Amino acid sequence: MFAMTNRPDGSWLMSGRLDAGAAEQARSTLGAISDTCRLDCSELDYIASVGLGLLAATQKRLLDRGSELILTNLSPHLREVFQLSGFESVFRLE
Amino acid sequence: MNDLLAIGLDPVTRILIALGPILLLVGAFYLLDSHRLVSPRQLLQALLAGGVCAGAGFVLNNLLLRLSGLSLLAFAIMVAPVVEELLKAAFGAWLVRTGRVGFLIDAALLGFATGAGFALVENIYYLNMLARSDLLVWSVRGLGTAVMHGGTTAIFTVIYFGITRGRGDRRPGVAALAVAILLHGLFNRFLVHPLWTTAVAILVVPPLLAVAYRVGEHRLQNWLGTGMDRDLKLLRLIRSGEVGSSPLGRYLQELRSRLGPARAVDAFCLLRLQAELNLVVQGGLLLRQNGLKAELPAEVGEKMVESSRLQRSLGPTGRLALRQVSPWDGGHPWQLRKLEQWRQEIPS
Repeated sequence: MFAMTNRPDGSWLMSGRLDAGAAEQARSTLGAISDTCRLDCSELDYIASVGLGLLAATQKRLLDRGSELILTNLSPHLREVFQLSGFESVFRLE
Repeated sequence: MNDLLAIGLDPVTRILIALGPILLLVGAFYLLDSHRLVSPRQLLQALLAGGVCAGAGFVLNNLLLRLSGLSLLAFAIMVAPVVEELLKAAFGAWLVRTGRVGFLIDAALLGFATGAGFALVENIYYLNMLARSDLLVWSVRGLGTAVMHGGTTAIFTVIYFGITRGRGDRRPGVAALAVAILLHGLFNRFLVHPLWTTAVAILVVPPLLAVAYRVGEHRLQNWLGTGMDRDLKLLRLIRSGEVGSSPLGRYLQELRSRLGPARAVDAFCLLRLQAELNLVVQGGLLLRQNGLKAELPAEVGEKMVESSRLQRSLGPTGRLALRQVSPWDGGHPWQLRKLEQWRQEIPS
């Protein structure tokens, strides 16, 4: 079960598994982000290739506007995935 | 129409028609490759290799024409296509067998560029040699012959790679070469109707390449989807420390009894390293697909060296046993070459 919850400070909490089954929901939420935004990944259990692709597309769109996605609280495994796949150099990880 | 085709062309227009369309087509196919599987350097290498083939073909054709005693037309239909396609295919086969091609997209693009390089050098030669300057001659050479040369080599490379994936039997290469020679021979046979053959080349070759691109894109997306997910799951499993109770763990136990404990450990380390290196390539392609360029992780070079060392240590039997669960999916020479290419292009 994947969910994205908007917080009062404007950041988003991602929880559950961001896989093919959650792609449409994530696409629609990420598509609505138009300014620099923090994504809290502390409750994100798993990310599949489709999720990485969505994050990359969103980051590209935002970077072109001078904004960015900032990913926070990644688990050690997700941090390793970002580091190995080269995503670490495209996203600010906090 | 005949009056139009008989129009004399000034030298600059002749050069533009002789060389422009094929270069534009190469450029268009390069831009259609959204993952940038082929680097500008590789594209240039393929064009140059095609040019060298044209030079070698010129020498061989002249020699064989003298020795054979055939008429020019008979030679153009029966011998020249064999010589020229053999030369171009030799480079295409080398690309495939050395892991420089990973998908049908780069097979089609590099094959087409090799043929285009051949046609460019041939047309430069004819620009100097042919006294005729009418639109018909240069339209046929610039559009028909050039597209045919690019098309036949692309078809050879696509068929050869599509069947063998760069491994094993060489017989599909002979069959692919036969198709290229046949198409080239037919083109030359019907050159008595130059407008028709040119029209056929233009109408057939680009759509054929578009099909190769589409099929290649499907396979690439599949590899970036299910292939990457498999690697992600494998890494997660390894990190969780629960490999022992998983099907993979049971398979590694079986390997231990077959290969001994030391090689079973090597197999496990290689499995992890390969999944990690796979993820570097997949992540890089995914970012490029979205117009982003990633830096390579600092330790990629060391991992590539270690991966080669472990593969040697495992030996052919160990590697064969590991293939059942290996994330390389048999395509590792291409992945390693891609990593090497990126290491040269972008800083770690």
